[in-house]
Amino acid sequence: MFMSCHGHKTLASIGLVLLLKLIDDLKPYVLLKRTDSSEAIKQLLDGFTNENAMDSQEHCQDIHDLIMEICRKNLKGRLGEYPMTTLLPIEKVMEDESEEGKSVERFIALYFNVNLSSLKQIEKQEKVLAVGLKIIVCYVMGEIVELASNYTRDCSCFSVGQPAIENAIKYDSELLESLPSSICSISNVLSVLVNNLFNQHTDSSQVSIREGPFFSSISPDVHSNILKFVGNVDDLLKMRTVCKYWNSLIVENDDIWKYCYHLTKIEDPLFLTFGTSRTLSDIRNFDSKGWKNKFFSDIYPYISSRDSLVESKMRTDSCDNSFREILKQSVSLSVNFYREIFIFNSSIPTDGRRTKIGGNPNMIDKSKLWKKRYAFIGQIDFSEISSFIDCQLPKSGYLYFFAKIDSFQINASVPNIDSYDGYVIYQDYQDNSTVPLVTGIEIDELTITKFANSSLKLGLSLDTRVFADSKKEFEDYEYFNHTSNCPSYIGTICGQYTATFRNDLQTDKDDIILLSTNANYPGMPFDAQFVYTINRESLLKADFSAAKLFITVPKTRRF
Amino acid sequence: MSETKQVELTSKDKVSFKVDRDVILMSGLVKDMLEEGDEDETPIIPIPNVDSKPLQKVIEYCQYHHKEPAQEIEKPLKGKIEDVICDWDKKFLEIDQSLLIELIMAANYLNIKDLLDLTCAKVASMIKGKSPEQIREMFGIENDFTPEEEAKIREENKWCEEA
Repeated sequence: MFMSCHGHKTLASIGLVLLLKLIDDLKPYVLLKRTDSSEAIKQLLDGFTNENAMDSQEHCQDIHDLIMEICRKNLKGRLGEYPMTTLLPIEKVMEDESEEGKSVERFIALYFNVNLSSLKQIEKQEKVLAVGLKIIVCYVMGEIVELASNYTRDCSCFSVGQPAIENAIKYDSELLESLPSSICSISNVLSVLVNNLFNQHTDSSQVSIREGPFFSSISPDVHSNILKFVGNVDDLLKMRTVCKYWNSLIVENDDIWKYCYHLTKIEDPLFLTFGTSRTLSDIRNFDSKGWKNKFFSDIYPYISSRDSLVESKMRTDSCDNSFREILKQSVSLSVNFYREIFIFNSSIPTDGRRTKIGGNPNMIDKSKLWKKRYAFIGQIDFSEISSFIDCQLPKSGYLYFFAKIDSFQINASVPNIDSYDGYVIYQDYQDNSTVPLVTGIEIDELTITKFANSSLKLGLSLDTRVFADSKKEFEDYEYFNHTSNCPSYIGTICGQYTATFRNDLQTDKDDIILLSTNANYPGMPFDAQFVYTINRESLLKADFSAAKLFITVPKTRRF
Repeated sequence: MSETKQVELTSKDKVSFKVDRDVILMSGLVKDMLEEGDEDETPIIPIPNVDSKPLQKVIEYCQYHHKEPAQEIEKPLKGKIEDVICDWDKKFLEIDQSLLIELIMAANYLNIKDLLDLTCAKVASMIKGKSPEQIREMFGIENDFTPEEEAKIREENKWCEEA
């Protein structure tokens, strides 16, 4: 069982918050260092502080007693028993040489002043403190992971994601009581953490650039003007280390992040499909503050999980850079698709892509052919497809796919959606005349081999198939099968690229799949597979009105 | 009066430039100074912060763009600067780095927003995708971080990336 990257992030955040809570109980001995950066942690702590800090100076003889007391007090019920009897005896603590213990020690040393003089001095006080805290945190994390794994397994899911972790905590009363209450809303914790940690070390707003020939004599305004043009998060993060002045600008100048927010929305394929000019100008005119926070809470998680997904794929397949770009595009598209569904809106410009999923159809006579209340699923340009399929489909023209999106209410407990309404339209480049197909072809040839690669070349998402034989198993697709049905993307894509491939459709055996793709149907907490099929006879006649739409959802859903 | 009114600008290194009044009104600074009022035939305006070389470039820019108003360069920059500016601007920016920096300062001082944006965008375009070391070298910025401080920021960024 895997942990999804968003699961990791979630867990790490919970761990940190728990650690801070434990340290907060040490208030009589431990003080925040008086620096600006401590403000951030202080704020964080204030959010999680217990009503009363531990008043245990009298009965705690030494630091080890203190650790035991913290464990007893914070971990409720049986949760606390095991570590106290098994993990925390002083010998165990002294033996512990793990890296985590050391990093907790560094963390404490960095942000807190420890004064244990009122306690009996014992050997290696700081180590006992750090390792003790570490043991408690690791133990709790372990419990969470175990529960979350069980939960994930129950859902027949493959990797542990944020929802599994959230549920694991929610349904275990001991854990729920032991953890700071604010953890209930993990996404909040996350953005608070990122932003606070991101702020630290920015010692001052003092300009500390070197006195020198040119660059340093440029006024601060101009520096931020330059950085506003940059607008790329990776570059901005990198530029923090150019000099102190730039660092303070990047961390403190919210406008820089406003522009970064915009650029990412415009340029990143994650936001491309639905990043219409209208929504962008809305953002631009929207005068508000906190763009950095917005960026890191609204946008960055998507980018980072997409990128980590792409990187993990790159590692396993040792592909070249151009493949990285294609992969990035593809994952973005899949993730992006249906984030916002839009019903007929002819004012949105088309983007010029030819074969595509999502976006806006580039059809002629749009208002006539795109029926109201239908969503545009995708389009296929035959001239692009023909190089991949060796059969006699039309050599030119488009096939457009639509689905009605308000015709059914999906009950998540029902695995198959019974009613669906969609249509397919063929249109030649010039008008909407139909070009009859050449008769007499062998339909057996109508399969696309190795489509995983060609779909990428077409700018489609990886989980899209076109012109496939519905009875065949798609061996080509095993590659992404393993991430299917993961619960980690409720309300967010984070961590998972989801793809569902099923060939148990209730179609006639001879049907051809025109298009199959995964999309997040609005109101559904998970992806559904949209499949358009047509029987061979109608395909030969180019009678696409006979095409049928199927929508399926994963069988194993239990939400 | 049929003749175009002129203005004389004097650079830091005491070089004089005669410019059409309409042209140099693109500079917010000059505009403010002129509006203060003298009706001299050819008012002399000292520009004590700008050398003749960048001033020459500034005038060149104003002479072209007061007829052909520059397209606003959108922030942030999409792709490379070359993709969003006109051919004339591209050619105009074929200058060495020190002049570019001087030009930024001149534009800032003279308050010519379009020119400032153009030059700032150029710098931004130059630093995109570069490493911090390359950026420092490119602009003669000294690394004023201690290695520990730098490591801290790196770690922080990493935290962000992993978060």
